[in-house]
Amino acid sequence: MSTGTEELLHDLLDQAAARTPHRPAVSDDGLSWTFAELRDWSVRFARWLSLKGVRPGDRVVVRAPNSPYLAASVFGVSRVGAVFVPISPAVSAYQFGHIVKDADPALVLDEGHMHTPWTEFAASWAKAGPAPEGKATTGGHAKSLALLMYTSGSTAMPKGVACQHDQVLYAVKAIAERLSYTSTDVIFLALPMSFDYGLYQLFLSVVASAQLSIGTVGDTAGLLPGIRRSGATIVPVVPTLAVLLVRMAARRGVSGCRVRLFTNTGARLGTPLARQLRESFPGAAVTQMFGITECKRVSIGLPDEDLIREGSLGTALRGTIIRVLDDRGLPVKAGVEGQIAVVGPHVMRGYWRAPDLTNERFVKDPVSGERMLLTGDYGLLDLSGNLYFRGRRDDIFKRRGMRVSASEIEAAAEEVSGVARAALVREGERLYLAVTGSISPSALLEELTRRLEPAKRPDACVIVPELELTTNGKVDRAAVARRILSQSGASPVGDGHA
Amino acid sequence: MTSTQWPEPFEQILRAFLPQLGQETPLKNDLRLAEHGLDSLATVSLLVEVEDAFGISIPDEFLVPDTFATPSGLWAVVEGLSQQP
Repeated sequence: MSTGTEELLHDLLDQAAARTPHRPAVSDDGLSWTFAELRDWSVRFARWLSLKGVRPGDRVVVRAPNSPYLAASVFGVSRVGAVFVPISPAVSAYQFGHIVKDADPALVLDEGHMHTPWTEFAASWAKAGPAPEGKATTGGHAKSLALLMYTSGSTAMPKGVACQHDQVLYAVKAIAERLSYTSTDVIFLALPMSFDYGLYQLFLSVVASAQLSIGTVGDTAGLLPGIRRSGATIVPVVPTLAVLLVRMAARRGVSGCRVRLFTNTGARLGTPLARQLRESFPGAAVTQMFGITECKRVSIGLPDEDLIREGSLGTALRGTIIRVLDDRGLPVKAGVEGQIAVVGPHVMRGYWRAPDLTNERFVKDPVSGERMLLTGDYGLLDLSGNLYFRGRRDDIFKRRGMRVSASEIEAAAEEVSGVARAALVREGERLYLAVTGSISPSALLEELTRRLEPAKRPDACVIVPELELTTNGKVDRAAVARRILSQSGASPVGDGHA
Repeated sequence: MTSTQWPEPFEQILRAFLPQLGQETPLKNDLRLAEHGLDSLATVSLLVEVEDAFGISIPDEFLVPDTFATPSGLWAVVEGLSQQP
């Protein structure tokens, strides 16, 4: 077993298999594997990859829904020193083509294309023979790439974030330290493993010898039953899932649920929604986090910390630094807003085969001289190092001479009773707010007049049944905009203040 | 395939969730609902409306993707839980 700096991603699994071979590792509706079994499958998969001619450094693209086999394949790819490139089954054919061309892989495992269920495909791994004794590796080392994570931009094509073993392992361990999953925890995964928030749940559960219970992504009606049935104690959510859980819990009750912790990242979980989650699931706490794929995680809060520090996203991971920079790239004082930047061993290598973009975002820290990631997000730190988010660079725009953040307006709307989610749509100077919930446009506009300065007030609100989402469950502002604006010949209802 | 196998209220509820299905297009029993506008969020709203309209509570074990895949899949569950006709 390797130690120290030469540790690789699959070593996490080998350590868990040695420590707790017979504990349940990963399960879905049909399968349940122990850590020894998960390891065994990953070794088989590694042998199969070798037979296919996959070599260290090669990229292996995998487009498949969540399953124990997908979990095994992550570690199998690591074993042969290759780079795991997970892709959501929900991406368009156009985007998939772009990603495959960009990743330049030695092998593409595309479940949809092969029209073969993943389970059937897995049978061919079994033919790769029994797991050999001892260490079945490798070719990778700590500084080689473990993952290539394609992140969805709102308009531009997805770009690959290149992640080294040592960087991924640092992030995993620092997050694990803070979240304290234990071997009796059951983590319910309703997020795709092609999304780093979902994929890292696998790593975190392996580190803790906890069980990962896999639900069907997008099976919203089955979400609460799945949480109940699996005995889940930890549920990572994006706001969309939180809204669904609150609705389902109000409807069906939560008897039999054992959830102790909801975690959130990926998109802001507003204060009212966090409160509703706690009210719906007595005994469950909410931990707010903030991160981007380029460094995996920036900050983690304490359970229910939002009750004391509203809007706080927690503090930096152990051994990492969060900086807030002014327009010249220099650190500002606590309490002053600026661009969020991150320094530490969790900052990933950069963008795959995109040196210009990498140099633009991965720069030199003016203080330490170390590599620093510019997140493109704006926020501030308080005196005790708690991070507060204000908006993405692309969210922030000038209106009537004022700096306005779309996120801030959405957050204000989501504070209003009767509003579930909100998305801001811009058409030149005009601002439209699309919301879900049970409120009239005029009542909402009136509330917003009380809460926002004139430059930040939407011109009109439109109540929609649902908001369009990205494949990662975030509100897809661009798609919402297309729908709202296509209807705006008959301008959105409730045209606001004069 | 005609749609006489389920009552009018069921059809009305379902159609409201299928914006991409023309008013005149018949609701076939094997229509793929997801391909006609029923997204994952709307599924929960559909569940709520159907439960209310038919005075039923669909048990956890029926809350699986198949139940919401086609009109006939959903109707089979609703009919099974409703009083016998």
